[in-house]
Amino acid sequence: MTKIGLEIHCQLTKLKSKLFCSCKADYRGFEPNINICPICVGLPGSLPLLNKKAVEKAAMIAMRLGCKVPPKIGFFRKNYFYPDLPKNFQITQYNVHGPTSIGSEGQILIEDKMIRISRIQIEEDPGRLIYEGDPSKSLTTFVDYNRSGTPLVEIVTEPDFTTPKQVRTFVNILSDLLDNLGVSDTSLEGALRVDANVSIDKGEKVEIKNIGSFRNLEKAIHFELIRQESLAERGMPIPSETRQWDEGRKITISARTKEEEQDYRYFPESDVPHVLIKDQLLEKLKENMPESIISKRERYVEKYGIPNQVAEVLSTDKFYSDLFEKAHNENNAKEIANLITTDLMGLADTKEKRDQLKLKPQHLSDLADAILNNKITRISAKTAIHEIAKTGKPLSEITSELDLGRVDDESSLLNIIDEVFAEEKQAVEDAKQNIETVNYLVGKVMKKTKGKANPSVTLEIIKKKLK
Amino acid sequence: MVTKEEIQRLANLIKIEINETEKYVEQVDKVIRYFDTLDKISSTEEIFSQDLALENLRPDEHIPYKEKLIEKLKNSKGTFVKAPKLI
Amino acid sequence: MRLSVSATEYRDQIRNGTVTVEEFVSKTLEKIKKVDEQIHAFITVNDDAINQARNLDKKLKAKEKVGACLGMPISIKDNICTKGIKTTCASKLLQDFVAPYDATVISRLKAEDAIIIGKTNLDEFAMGLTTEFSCYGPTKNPWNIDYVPGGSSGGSAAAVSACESIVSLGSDTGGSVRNPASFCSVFGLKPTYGLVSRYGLVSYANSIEQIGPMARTVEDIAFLMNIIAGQDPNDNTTIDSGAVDYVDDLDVGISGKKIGVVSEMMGEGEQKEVTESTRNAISKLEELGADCEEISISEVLHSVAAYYTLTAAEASSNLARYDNIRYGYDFGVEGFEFNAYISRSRKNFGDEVIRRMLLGTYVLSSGYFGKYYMKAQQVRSLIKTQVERAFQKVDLLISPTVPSMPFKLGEKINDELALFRLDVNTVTANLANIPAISVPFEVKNGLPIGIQLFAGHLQEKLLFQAAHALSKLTKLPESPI
Ligand SMILES: [Zn+2]
Repeated sequence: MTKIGLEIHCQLTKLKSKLFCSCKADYRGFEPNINICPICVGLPGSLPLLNKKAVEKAAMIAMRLGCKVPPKIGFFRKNYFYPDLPKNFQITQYNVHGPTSIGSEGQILIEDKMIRISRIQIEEDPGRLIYEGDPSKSLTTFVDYNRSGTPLVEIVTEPDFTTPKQVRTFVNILSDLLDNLGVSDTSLEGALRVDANVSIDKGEKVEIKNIGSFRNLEKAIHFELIRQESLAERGMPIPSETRQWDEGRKITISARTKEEEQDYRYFPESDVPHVLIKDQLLEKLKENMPESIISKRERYVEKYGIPNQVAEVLSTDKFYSDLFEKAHNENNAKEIANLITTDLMGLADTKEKRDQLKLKPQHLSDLADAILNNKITRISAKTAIHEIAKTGKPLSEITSELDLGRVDDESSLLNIIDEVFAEEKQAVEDAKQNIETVNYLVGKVMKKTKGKANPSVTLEIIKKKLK
Repeated sequence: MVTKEEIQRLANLIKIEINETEKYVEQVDKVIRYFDTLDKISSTEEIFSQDLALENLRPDEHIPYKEKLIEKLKNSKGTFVKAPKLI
Repeated sequence: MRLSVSATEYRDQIRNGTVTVEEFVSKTLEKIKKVDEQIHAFITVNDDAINQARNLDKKLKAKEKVGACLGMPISIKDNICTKGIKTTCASKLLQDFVAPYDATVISRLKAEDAIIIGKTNLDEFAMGLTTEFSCYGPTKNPWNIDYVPGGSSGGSAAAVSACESIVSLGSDTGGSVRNPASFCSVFGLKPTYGLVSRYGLVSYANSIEQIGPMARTVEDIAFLMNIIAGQDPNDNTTIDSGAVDYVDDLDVGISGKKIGVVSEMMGEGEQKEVTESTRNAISKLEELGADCEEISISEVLHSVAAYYTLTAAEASSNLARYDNIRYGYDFGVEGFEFNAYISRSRKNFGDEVIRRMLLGTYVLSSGYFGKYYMKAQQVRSLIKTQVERAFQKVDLLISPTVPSMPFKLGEKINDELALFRLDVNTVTANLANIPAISVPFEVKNGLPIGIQLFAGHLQEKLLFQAAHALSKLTKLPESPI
């Protein structure tokens, strides 16, 4: 049987400071080694100062993934030498001597499969290595410690996946969940990193590291399964090893050239005392947790009568649901849901577009109200959204600038309809014979008014004239 | 008995080049034999730990370090730190 | 002008104007120049001390507000970070290291206008109890320069004993303040774990060690504790001890107090003179109205093995950061692969440090963790429980500080196990997180003997009162140097 398990590292990018010092948690965009202090470069005499919010956010993740959160958590040192690791040990959590990590024994339903979460732990990210020139010629590398000490949460699943597709679905759901919880912006480069371990019946467990994007994740696992199966078919052994995903060649390659023994010598990090998490505090944290995606979806359907599919799209993407939550009221909720999931979608489907988007929740509620009060047609609304997204101007301004106000008065409509009747003699005859074809004429009127004509008034006038 | 191979393995783990392995074999072995008295203890004593309430941890605030620390470190190529590559 | 004044006397003299800060500091520097070639208490002497003294004199003259230390020259063990002055830990790996910040204890002393006169010698990274394992060579005992000063804070003890500074700060992992205090005839305190901030103390065994004051009177120890003790937002392991004035009521005596004589720390394997001295101290305490009785803390027998297991384990990890990449000594990375480079750089640790790191790696490695490290942790917990139980029966515990008198340089340097045995009376306080003080008690054949008193968790005040009572009974000569 195919068994796939995941180790997911998620940066808590929504925090203001690093895990053990007051440097900025979001290290992106700094000049090298500017976001550092004695603690995160491990100067002699420095001591780690645990970030309260990091523990709270990690506890929220644990609870959302159905994990047990123990009354007391502890930290351990994982000892190994690496050029990007300033203390040459990583402060992390470790459950071998009893559950002291922030979460354990959770589970989450993915489609119809239950995936067990074995543990969730808080740890620090190392620095970053920058290679220059031809890597095969140069023996040196440059280290940037800006990332060193960034708060990470590691989520480890049991090997419960059986197909690469399940893995992709899980990771998608998980990244939506983390975004929705407000703990991380998983769209940031390196904010969510996934390692997979893969095994088939006749072989040992193989770890795949360095999988850059989620799209590669599915490919890497797929490749690895085929590789293992073909080894098995030829009766060859599948040894336990770590393999790297080679992005260029789209294959996994064995990571260790030299047989180097790993012995991390975990032991308690006593500079960080055990943290007591009282039940009441955990309850309070739970109460204040952002609403889950599932609960949002159900609420959208039940309370506002939003169609299930629309509610699904709206709830899974925090960006959309935040817009929705801020914009809607009881009356315009359904219309706003529509605007977001049909008209806004193409304008905000990438991070860049979202960053540049000028549209505010107020725009959406103004727009929805205008539609509901027959002040603007749905077609004009689409034009307006495009303009708002670009300029951020208030709806009233855009309506007059682009002349989007709805044409309601019968006399001006009558003129236009007369024109259409004169131009479309055949269609008028057809409609007289078969009233079903009348929409063609309505369409012509809409076209002439650039979508501003009130469709129901137009239809009525046409019907009257046809008689 | 601690072996030469074991000492070499330990030295590799903590990254220290040692030449006189024999000397360390003897010294480490002597002390480990002394530590062996610990193994005779049968205790179910809970391991002592220091505790701190979650409320008392450091609040999440970004406070930039007051000086350019990189200038006090071995720096190169502007504000980088140079390291040998792991092969 | 006398250099052998206590901190209290110094402050009186400065306030009275009998002596200026500059006079005292320059006299101290002269003394260092004169004697330090022989005893080698210092690694670095602060060039700026005289300037600081002059500035303080100006302030004093202008009647500006000056902190409680009034320019008192104080020496600091060279494993405590001082901004702008090298902190070497007596190691080649840190021979050029200048910390960009002050340890919390240093900022607190500076806030009270103390003058750092210099950084004192130690066993490399505080691993040792003779100060012979320093990359700068050994410190010698001011009472007899053929003898070791104890360690690892041997430089601090020698500096205080030889009046090269009024007081000093050392660090105590398994006796590193008390052992040299005993060998050099000064007072040395290991505070309750968490009472003094370790921020800026270069870690050797971080779950066990504390910075502790060394001085020529108990009052000075109390005075320093008033300044350096207390919770620190930069050290999550510091504890709230409330507002205690350690100097107040020092003189209340110990009448009616119960003192336990720890059986496991008396007699067996101990130098005869030391046992006699301790018996003598006990009877003097009884004369003062204390009630002394034998008490057993059986786990003391395992304490040294547990102590070395835990400290070696922590050391192997704490010293991993010295890879010479971000800071360290001048040795370029060009032409080296990572492992080759750091293994070569780290070869510059001294033998003793390498030995302890090998041991520490051994007891943590898979297969041995349960057998050694976990067992050592259990012993630590057992000792803690037994000590707590003892303090339900008695107010204080007493023992010799070190089971031996000072010995000659080189005498025990190659006998690891003989050195281990010297720690047997001191490590208990570290493993149990309780305070203990070494009180200079006698000088026999020209060499000092110290007595150790322990008190319960955070009972420093009681400990000082007892130490004060005991010290009032003795009139010790000044060190001959
Ligand atoms: Zn930092």
